[in-house]
Amino acid sequence: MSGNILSFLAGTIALAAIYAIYTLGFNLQFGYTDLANMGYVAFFAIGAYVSIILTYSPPGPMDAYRFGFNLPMWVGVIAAAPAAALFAFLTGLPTLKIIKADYFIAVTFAFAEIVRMVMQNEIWLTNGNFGFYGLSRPFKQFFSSYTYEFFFASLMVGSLIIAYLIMRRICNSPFGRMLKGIRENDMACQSLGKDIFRAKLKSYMIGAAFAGVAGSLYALYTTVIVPEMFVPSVTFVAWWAVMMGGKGNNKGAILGAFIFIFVDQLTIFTQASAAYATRLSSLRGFIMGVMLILILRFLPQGVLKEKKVVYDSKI
Amino acid sequence: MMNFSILLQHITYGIVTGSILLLATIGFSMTYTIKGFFNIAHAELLTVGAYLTYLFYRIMGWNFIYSAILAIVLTTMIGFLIGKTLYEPMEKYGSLILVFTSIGVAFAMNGITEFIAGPIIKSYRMLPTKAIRVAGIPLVGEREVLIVVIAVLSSFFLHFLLTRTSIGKAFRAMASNTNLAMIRGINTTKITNFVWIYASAMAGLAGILLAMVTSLSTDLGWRQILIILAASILGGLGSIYGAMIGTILLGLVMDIGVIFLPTAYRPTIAFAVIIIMLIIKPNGIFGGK
Repeated sequence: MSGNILSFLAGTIALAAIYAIYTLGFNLQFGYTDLANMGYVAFFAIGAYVSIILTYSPPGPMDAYRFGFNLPMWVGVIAAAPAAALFAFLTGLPTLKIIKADYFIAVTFAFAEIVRMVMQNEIWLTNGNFGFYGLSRPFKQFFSSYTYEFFFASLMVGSLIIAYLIMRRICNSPFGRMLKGIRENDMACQSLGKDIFRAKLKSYMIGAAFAGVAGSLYALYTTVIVPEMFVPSVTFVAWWAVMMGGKGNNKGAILGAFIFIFVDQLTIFTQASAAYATRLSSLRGFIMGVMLILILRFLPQGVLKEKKVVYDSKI
Repeated sequence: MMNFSILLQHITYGIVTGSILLLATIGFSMTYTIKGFFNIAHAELLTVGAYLTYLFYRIMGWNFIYSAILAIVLTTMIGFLIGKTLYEPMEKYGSLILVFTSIGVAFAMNGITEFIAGPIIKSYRMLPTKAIRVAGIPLVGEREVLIVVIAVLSSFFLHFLLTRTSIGKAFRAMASNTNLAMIRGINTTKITNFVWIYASAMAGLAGILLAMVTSLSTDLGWRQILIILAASILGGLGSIYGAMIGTILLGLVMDIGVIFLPTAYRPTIAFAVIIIMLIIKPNGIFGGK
């Protein structure tokens, strides 16, 4: 029994690490650049699908999908980043010119839903609502199915550490400081000769690349990809985690994602019997919604506040 | 000739879709006009209204009209309470935080509805009505005609409210300039209360009508929110009359659009409207600038 709990815990940590990478990218877009992206799940979905199409076995005569390139798994994970960033570039060009946050929310929300509709209906590319099943997991052959859970969790936590270090480097670079400057006062930045639109587009694309990689790792975790996994509420996870952990704080984003997944998985784990399972799972939305309302009201800066950095004023 | 009858059918479907959408969008648009934020949880009130009617009509076995009226009253009370207790204290943080709060509210409402009602799709199980034929072409049932009549009547009622009553005039004053309205001694709290009440009542009504012609699922409202958003953007955000025209137009565009597009892509027409309008003409098709 305790073994079951341990392997459940390992699975939860792996999932939380994946969502933490996903939230890190969102934190760059929203926390650092104030891009209220309501369609963030689209990048996650594109990352997952691109990596699957690249690594899945080629279609047989009975299969509805047309492409499967059977490439190694790491190719899929790496390719997910530029694919999501490309989509961010294409959608960012027209939408990042929108100044009003409300309008940006509406447009990105609509984009993500269009992406999901395309995934549901373009069967030749995505296999429609059936999606892709039975994906293989990395280095599975070297482990027993019990120890593999722990190996996979450490692999995901390792990926998270790499993602965090990259993100920290980006945020502490002059580019990261410029993003904060744009967020605080875009007119002042413009007067210093900074190209605001270009900086926003870069931030949007880098954030998307993180979501893309997270999407490809998520595909390895679930071993199943269907369009239903990319509903708007997945964007809500990133929002929730950033608001909970602390906007503009990378450690906060990771903490927020871990809290979300642990609360979420706890409601699964405590399910007494199958009869109550569906009822209890609908309470998850309720719990998450109420928690978000409470954070916004009583802890608007999140658990870990953004650190104020004071630069040396001596010239 | 066959094409003409198909087109006529799709136009009538579009008017029915637009009529339900009109009732659903009015409240959303009013909230945006007065409170300045997209109330994502507005569509959940459709679900609440539809399910409360199901509770009274199917489970308790009451008369449908009484069930619907009681459901609308309760939905109105829920909407009013949420507005007062959850949104109004958050106004000081700005519209973005209000949008997040409303997303939280939407998830909470959706979760609690699903917890109580269960995930199984339900229906009012009303008998099918006779289709009305025009020149031999079967168009819509009597129930659909009733929906259009309700939408038209409620539009006239709202027009009457806005132009003839003091609260309606005060609403229009507040919509065009909140600060000026306050300085002139208009009771803005009263207007806000009116908006929460009217918006929630219309949402409840729209939910019941939608469930009458389709079925009840807990994502009934959630599926509509982007379409509601699209309709209010099409007509021009902040314009009540624009929103009314926007809903009928969007209903027509969506239902005529499926002649040319696969049916599965019907909602994407609304999503495309949001993207195109906000990038090119954010003030709506009638808006200036």
